[in-house]
Amino acid sequence: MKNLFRIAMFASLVLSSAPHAARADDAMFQAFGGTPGLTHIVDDFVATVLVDPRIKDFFAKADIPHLKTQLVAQFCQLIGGPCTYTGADMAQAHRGMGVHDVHFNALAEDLQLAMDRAGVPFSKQNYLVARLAPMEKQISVK
Amino acid sequence: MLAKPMILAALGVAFGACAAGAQTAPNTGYGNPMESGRLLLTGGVSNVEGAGGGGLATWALITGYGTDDAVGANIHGTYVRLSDYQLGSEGFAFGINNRVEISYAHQDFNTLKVGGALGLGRNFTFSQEIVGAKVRLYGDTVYDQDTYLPQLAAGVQYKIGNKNSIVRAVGAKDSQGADFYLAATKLLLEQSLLVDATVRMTRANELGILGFGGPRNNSYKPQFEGSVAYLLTRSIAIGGEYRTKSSNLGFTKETDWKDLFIAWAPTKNISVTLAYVDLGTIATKKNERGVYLSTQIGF
Repeated sequence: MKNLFRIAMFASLVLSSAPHAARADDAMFQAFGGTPGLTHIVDDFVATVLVDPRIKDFFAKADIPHLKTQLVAQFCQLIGGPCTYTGADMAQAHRGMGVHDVHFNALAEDLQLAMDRAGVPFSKQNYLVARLAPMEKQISVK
Repeated sequence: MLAKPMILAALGVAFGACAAGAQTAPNTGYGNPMESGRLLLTGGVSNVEGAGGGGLATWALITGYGTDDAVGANIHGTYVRLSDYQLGSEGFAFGINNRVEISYAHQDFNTLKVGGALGLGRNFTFSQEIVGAKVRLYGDTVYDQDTYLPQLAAGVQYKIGNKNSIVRAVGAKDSQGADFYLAATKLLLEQSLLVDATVRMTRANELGILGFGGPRNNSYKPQFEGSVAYLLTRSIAIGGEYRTKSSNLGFTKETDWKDLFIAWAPTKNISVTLAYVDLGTIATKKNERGVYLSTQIGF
């Protein structure tokens, strides 16, 4: 019984600890070109999104400069850069927008294209996408 | 004999048209039910039994590129050339709402010269039809990057062989039967790795090509199949697979299968998988190794 309890405790610890806890990782931050690199990627990414027929309508009324600032801060923090994202949480920011997984994925594809164009290696891209992917569960309508 | 290729060709044209439509139709939010809305390669490829998976292993992924609100579909053709045998598989599959997968495959196992030596006749061919259904039970391979839990799916494959008297003559108890499996697939995106582990309850001899059950064992036994794939780029994955087998028949041993593969999906509408396979001992012939080539077209 005691052993069973220990196993359960261990299992819940393993399951609750995220596989990638946030940590300072300057090499990763530099792989994205630091703040100038991220700014460039976000500019290109947002420009791509705004002409993507799958998702552009979601951004019709968005404050684009503000959106870009928030995205740079968010991505920077997610890849271990020296930034703190202070914007709205993902569930709040997307409430009532009717975002589905298909839109989330379209956005992810546009980001991948922007990272490709900026020369971010695929494995490094996955580091960021891996941190963005779980947000689908807060953003999308089920 | 002509009917099957023609049906497949017709299906190919239909799917091609659908795929083209899915790409060019004006998009209205999630209103396009045939939009390939999932990320590249996240439906896997068509495995040797027609299910969404790798080459030899079946995965928990639902085939195609349909999201929660859409369908995906594809056709596949697979050709395996071994030292003494060749195996062909053609079929189609649907993925519905990224929840349910329905698949069909027709397999031809040609014994080439071995058929002659066994008195069956040169190029004697065992065929079987495989109808599969899979349901995703839990999790999402792509989005669940914040937990170690995999995507889980359960499935069944019903297999109907066409050589009842022959497979019984070599000791099999039945020429048709069902496999049941539970598949767990995990994408470790940060590591660019996809890992699958599947447990299959089966009585099949060489996938069912040599019937089901036999003198050594006639009961369902759990067998393992698994894959590890490394994503080199968004469109190219390389990896290896392993599949354990029951050895039910008396006249021959049956051994585990393994392969090393490379899969390439230049677009969401086509993928090509090339593998080196080692299928061990098949119907008394040892060291059956060779090349596996599979193409999938769909959306």
